Amino acid sequence: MNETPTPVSHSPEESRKAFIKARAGRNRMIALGLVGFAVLLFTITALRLMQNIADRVPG
Amino acid sequence: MTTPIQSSAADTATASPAEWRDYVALMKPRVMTLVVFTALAGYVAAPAAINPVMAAIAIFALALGAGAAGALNMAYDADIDLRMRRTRNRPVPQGKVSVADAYGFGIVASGLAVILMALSANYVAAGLLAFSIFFYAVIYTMGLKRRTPQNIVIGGAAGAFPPMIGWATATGAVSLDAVILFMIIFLWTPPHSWALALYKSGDYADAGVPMMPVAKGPKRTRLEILIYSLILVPFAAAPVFTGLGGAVYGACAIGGGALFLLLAFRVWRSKAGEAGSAKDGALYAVRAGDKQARDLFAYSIAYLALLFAALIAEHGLGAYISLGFGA
Repeated sequence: MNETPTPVSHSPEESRKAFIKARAGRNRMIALGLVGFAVLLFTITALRLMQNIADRVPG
Repeated sequence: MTTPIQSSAADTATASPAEWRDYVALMKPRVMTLVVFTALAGYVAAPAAINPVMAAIAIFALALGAGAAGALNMAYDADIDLRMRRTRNRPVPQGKVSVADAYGFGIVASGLAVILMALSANYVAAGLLAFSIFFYAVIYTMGLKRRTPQNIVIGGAAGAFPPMIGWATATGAVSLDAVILFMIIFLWTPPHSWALALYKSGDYADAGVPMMPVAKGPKRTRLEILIYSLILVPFAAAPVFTGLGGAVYGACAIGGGALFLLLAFRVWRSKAGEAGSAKDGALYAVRAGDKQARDLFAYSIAYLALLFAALIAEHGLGAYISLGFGA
C-alpha cells in the first residue's frame, strides 16, 4: 500500500479543469458561509432587540 | 517524542485539488456530532433556558468550535497521521489540503465560533469554548500527545467541556451539576481511548505516539482501564444524588455501568494488546485476543450516549421521576 500521497496523473488541461471545478465549489461554499454568517448575526440582533424592547420598563 | 514535521508531502505536491468536502472532513464530523449531543444534554438539563433560536445558534457555534479544534489537530498531526492506518486518508496527509490552509481554516473557524457564542449566549459560554479549543489544540495536541502516556487522561478534558458549555449557555454560569457532567466524560475518556489503543497499539507505535499500551505495555493498560472504570461507574451515578438525574438516569447509570464494569473486567483478564494490532485486513479487524478491548470500546460509546440521552429524556421530554435527592 502507498505510504505517501501520489500525485494523480492528469494531462495539464484535465488538471486545470479539475482545479477550476474544485475552486468554484470552494468559492460557492465560502459565499454560502458568509451569507449564512450574516443571516445569523442579523437574527441574533433582531432577537436581542425584541428582548430588550420586551424588558423595557413601561412609562 | 516525535518532532512534528511541518513540511510534509501535503506542502509540496497536491494529490488532487481540495473540495469543500475535504474541509468538512477536517472538522471531524463524527466528533462534532458527539459534542453537539453532550452539549445539548447540558443545555436541556440546566434549570434555565434562553430563546430557542439563540440556543440553536449557540449549539451551532459550539459545533463549529469543535470542528475548528479538529482542523487545528489535523494540521499539527499531519506527519503522524500519515504513518497511521486509521488516519492516513485524512485530507492533510493525502495532500488535498495543505498544512497552512488547515491551520488558517482552524484559526478563522475558532474565532467565528467564539464570536457567535458570545453574541448568541453569553461571555461565560464563549470563554469556556475558547478555552476548550485552546486546550485541545495546544495543550493536548501540541503539548501532551507526543510526550506522555498520560496524554489522554489530561487531554480528555477537552472533550468534557461541551456539556458544561451547554449548561453555561442556558444559565450564564457553571454549577456543581455542570462540573459533574464534565467529570463523567473526563473519567470516561481514558478507558474509552485505551480500549481502542489496545488493539491499535501497532499503529500508535509506528507513529511514535506514547499511548499507554506503547509506553507502559498492554498489561498495565488493562489494569488502568479497570481502575478508571471502577471510578467512573460509581461517579456516573452522582447526578442522582444532586437531583440532576431521576429514576430513568439512575437506571441507566446502574444498569449501563454494571455492563461497563463487566466488559472492563473482561479486558483486564484478557490478553488484549499482547499481539500488537491487526495490521492486515480491514481497518478495524481485531485479533482474537483483542476482542474484549474492541467490545469495551464499542460499548463505551453507547454507554456515554445512554447516560446523556437519559438526561435529555428526563429534562427535555418530561420523563423525570424524582428519587427524592437534591433540592
